[in-house]
Amino acid sequence: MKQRLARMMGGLTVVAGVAVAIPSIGSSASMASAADDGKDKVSFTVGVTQDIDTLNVTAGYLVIDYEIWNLTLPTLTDKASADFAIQPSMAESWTGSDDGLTWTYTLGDGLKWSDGEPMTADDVVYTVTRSIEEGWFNHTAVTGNLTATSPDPRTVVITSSVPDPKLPVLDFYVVPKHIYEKIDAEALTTYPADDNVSGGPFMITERTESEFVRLEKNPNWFGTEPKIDEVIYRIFATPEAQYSALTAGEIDAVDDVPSSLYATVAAGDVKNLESIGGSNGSFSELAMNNGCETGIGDGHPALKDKLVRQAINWSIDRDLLIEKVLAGTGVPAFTIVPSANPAFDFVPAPGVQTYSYDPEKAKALLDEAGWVDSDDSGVRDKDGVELNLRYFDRSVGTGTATTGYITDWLKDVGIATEVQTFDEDTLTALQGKGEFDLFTWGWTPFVDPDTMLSYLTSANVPVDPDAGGYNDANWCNAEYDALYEAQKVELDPDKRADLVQQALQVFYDEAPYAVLYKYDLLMAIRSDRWTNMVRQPSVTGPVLFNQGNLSYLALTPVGGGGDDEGSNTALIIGIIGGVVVAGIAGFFLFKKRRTSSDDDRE
Amino acid sequence: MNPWFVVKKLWVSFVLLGFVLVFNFFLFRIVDRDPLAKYRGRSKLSPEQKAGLIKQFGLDGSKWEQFTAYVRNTVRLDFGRSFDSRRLVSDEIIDRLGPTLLLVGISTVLTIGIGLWIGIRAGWRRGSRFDKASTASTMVLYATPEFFLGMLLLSYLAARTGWFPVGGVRDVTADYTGFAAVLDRAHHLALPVLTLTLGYLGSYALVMRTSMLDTAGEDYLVTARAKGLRDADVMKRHAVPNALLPSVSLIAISFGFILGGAITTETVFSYPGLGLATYDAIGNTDLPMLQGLFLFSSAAVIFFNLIADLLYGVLDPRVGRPE
Repeated sequence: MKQRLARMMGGLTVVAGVAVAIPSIGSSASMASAADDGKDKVSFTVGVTQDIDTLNVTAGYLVIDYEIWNLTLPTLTDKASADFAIQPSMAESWTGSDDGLTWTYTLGDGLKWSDGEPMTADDVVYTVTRSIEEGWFNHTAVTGNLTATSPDPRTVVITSSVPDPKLPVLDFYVVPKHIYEKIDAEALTTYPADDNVSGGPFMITERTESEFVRLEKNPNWFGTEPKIDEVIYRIFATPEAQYSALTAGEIDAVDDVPSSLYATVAAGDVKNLESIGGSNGSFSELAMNNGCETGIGDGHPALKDKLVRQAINWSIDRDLLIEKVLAGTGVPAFTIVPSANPAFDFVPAPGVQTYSYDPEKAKALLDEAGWVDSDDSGVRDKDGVELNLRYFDRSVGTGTATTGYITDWLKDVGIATEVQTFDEDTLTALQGKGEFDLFTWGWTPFVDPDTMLSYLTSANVPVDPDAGGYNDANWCNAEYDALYEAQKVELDPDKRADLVQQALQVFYDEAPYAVLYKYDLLMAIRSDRWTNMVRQPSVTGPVLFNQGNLSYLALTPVGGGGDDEGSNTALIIGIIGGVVVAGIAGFFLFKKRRTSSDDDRE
Repeated sequence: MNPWFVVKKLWVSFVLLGFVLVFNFFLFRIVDRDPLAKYRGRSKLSPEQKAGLIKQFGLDGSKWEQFTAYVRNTVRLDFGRSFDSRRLVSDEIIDRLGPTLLLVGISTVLTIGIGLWIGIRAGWRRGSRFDKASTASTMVLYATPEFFLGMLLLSYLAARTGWFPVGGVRDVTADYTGFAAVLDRAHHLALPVLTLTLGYLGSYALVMRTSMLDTAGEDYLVTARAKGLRDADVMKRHAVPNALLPSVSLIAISFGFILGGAITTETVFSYPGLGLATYDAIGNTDLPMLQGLFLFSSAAVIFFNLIADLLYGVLDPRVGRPE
């Protein structure tokens, strides 16, 4: 599913946290730094705990996949770092028709792909047309209603069949036509995209699965020249190991500081490290199977009742979860977060108490819904059916950390749960079949709220177990659908924001999910080596893994490039260390031998 | 050595391998894993493509047909395709084999060498300071899970002091060639090797010490001493060869343990070998990959057991003799 977060945090996490936390804080070592030894290359190495799913922009969906596309695939326009305002990229200018339905973009002069082929209006038209024909799921939310033509190689004319607030930004990745036209629809679904042709600031030059991916500067990039020669994403098995690599200076930044350590980094208590994390709108939820009539599956009948769903919302202590699971690096959330731009966040009506930990209220709601414990078993029932819910977890991510708390709280109000853990693909398949009651997962929204809002519309309820669907709450609501459709074609930004709020209010009242919290991405960088970290959006947003490549273009090495201690130093020290150890061992052996010989002589 | 002894051992290994082959097939089919889960909901696969993928995964036809195809393919070293990457499992294993062979190979040699050496010295000089110190420390190391040991080493020798890299097999930001590249690899291998070696040498040291103690009271040692042999020679020529026998079978058994230890050690050090591949495959429920890895490691353990058995026959002439 799109941008599902899949961060690896294995079973070793807890122990590792203890083991690593003690020595790492206040560590001053940065010996093994390897930014640019033996050459003038400026490397920026980012530790990540998630390997690339696929580089194919028509099939990938992980956060790391999007980050690579942000660096390698061009877009018509860009989004300003401070506030996501539209700014030129491939297109240097654009004009709209009076009705707002048609936009004409003028592309920059002499644009080229990394392999030297010209990058023209044809590439844009090709991407729009083919993405609609074949239903590319990363594209159609934006391109779905569009037609594109290219009167000349530098002009793209885009016409939308309906008023579309996503114009003129047009936030989709343009693919190189000369590469993609050789791959037919059938082959494309499993295409590994190893052509490595780039239209962004960097291009992939080397990749080893589970180890690293290297992106070097694209010589044909048309935008601001990056001050980095290569970006390397190094894959670590645990967040603890990558944090250790950061404190030791082996890498320059990490995408996932263990939450127990983040506070000390954020407080500036760790030498040479600066927190660059922030919110990109990512949130976690306890999804419930609402059992939409037009959908499929076997969800528990109790969850069709909004009183039960509200009761579940009232039985969760979000503040405690944030304290225990996130170490305070998040805020409670009550509805989906529709956009990376916090301006779209749900604002509860004044004076209204939002969902909070209130088990008595939860019990009252369950009583009202007719679910009572008639047989004194500790589990509520109705018409002979027990309120016993399947509760699914992912084998990766922080979901499992919340499970113990949530299932206990549910038990307190008389809801039994059976916990099962699945890998992400299997859980996605189960969700697509509607065969679940509850599961925990999360979403990361885009800048435009349309896509995230669309996931919960009736149109996205799975109806074919093989095809699945984004609506993982199996929820359909005509009022929400209508508000979604209205905001989709509202060109006045204020009116649109109001429609979004109304849709969120419906979501809040109907409670198809129990949204848990909006969490910060916990990233850190070596402040002794890098400067000019740009957040998107300003103040609250993250520096990496945001909505474009501008932060990478701004990032500047301290003192013009790299550090002065290379890994040659580390190697030499390693060798000396090895020789010393061998020497001691040899001496020990020799001494022992002599002693025994002496013994013999006695 | 009696040729029948060799034939018998070969036959036992062969039967064992056959059993693993059959067991492996059913073991990984107990799990109800949708092989197309990765594609549901986001790629629009045509029915033909789906059928093609199912065929690629070797999951078409009846269970019996699948089984015969599985045996046929496995004999040809074709372990099927990974659900996750869709690459051939054999290719994945070959890609990851090098780093693991280096790690497990060096660790095994060091573990045996150092472990036996400690055991011999401690057993021969029972009650000495060396014996007391080494027995205590090997007990502790024996009882420490290797992933915990790895994390301690990682914290102190990599994260805190920066003497060794935190993980990986090489410095990806540098273009080392020749000797520098070898040194770089060695530098990255040091901590994982140290972890596995420390984690497993305890069992050798303790077994070797006990069997040295057992031989210490034997008459032939008194005879050897009476002949006027130096203490070191008595130990080297008479005590050690006899005491070595139990350790030989231990070598074979613990090779399997070390291979297992590579899973957690490689995960701690983000070392991309077969161990980390196993960890990832478990996380993704990548059954063909797990099946291939399981078969591969079982075959390796059976092979080393065979070598140990044959070696046993060479070291102890009584073993291979016809009854």
